[in-house]
Amino acid sequence: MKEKMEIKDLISVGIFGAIYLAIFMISITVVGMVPKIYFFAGAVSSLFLGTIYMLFVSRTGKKYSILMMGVLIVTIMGLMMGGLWTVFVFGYGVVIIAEIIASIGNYKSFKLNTLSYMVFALFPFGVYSAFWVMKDQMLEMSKPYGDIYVTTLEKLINPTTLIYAIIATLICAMIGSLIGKKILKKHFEKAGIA
Amino acid sequence: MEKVKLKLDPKTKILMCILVNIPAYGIANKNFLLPFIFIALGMLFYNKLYRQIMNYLIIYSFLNIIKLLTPILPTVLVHMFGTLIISFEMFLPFIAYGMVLIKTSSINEVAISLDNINAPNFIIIPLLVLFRFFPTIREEKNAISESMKLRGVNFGFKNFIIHPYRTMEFMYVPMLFVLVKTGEELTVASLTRGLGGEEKRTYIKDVKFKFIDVLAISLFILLIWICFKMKGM
Repeated sequence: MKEKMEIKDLISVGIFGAIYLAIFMISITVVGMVPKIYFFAGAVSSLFLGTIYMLFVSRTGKKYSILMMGVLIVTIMGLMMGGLWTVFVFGYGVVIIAEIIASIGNYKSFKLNTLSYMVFALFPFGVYSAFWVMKDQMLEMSKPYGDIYVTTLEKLINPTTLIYAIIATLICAMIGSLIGKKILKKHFEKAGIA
Repeated sequence: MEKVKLKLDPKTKILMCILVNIPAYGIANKNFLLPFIFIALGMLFYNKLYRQIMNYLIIYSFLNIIKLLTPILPTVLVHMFGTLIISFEMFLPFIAYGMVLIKTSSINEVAISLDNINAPNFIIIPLLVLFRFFPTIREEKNAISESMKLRGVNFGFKNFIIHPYRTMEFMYVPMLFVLVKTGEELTVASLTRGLGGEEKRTYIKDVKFKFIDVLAISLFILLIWICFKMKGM
């Protein structure tokens, strides 16, 4: 399938990018309130975002559509939440891999789409990587909040938490895409817009 | 003759949004960010956007008051707000410049400005649609909540915990339907206006990269450089 992106698809990219970002921001703010599960915000949000991703892929199953949406989301999120270069390098890498995986199955195979979403959902870790790269600065900034807070944060920033968070995100993304499939089948396919 | 209003090109504003992140993340001492925030507020003041300035100052002082109160507040609250404030402090300057961009130049002008440097369609269209749809999403969310109340469905936090899947479904399905339909309408509307044609579009408004833009950007970069020099001292 070598169809070009038309105006219709470009507008879809914008719309789905907007709702993806909106829901992502809401969940990350709510989850971010509790520092102990701060790094699991990506996992929680990927539960809800699976539906949007699946609907987007099924509506614009064209080459570069996932790449375009991903780059848009990562760029805006990177500018708003973390301006460190790691956000962009990691985010774009993840998005490219997701695009390649989905394009193998011609954007129609559910299994490959799920796999592609699982990779795509990892992009928030670009933001979290700031905590590892600038660990000292983060700890210095948190000094005014008292010693207890500093020790909590110090305990949080270790490799084990990172691995747990990545595994949790992968599992949640899988569940999210299953939910997405269910909702798509129940509502959107019947109405003929999926 | 009418007094000519000083106006920056949207490209300059976008560039400022990006550049301001360098000091925001590169310098630990947040006092260095004050001049940048001051410049943005000045730009808002010049365009008579007093309400936006008030809102910004309220957020800013709220965060700083919490920061000052941390020794007194109970640890639970400190834990709750700490991470939030640290990340908020970093993107406060960005919010100021984003406000300048969105409030002082219309979406139309941004499109013209990007088209002038021959940015491809696949960058311009998704970007503009994205910003156009943020307010729509909020409106639709309120409308769906209202209509779901009639059927006895409440999107409160409690329901979200008890019936996560059902609440999500009730919110998502109408929302996505509306967005897909609006997208289709938008496509038709923009095709009618000649978007995506072969010819280059012409514009009534005159948006150009002028000398003042060059001046503004150079001064901005100079300020960032000075901040980094001062930091070392």
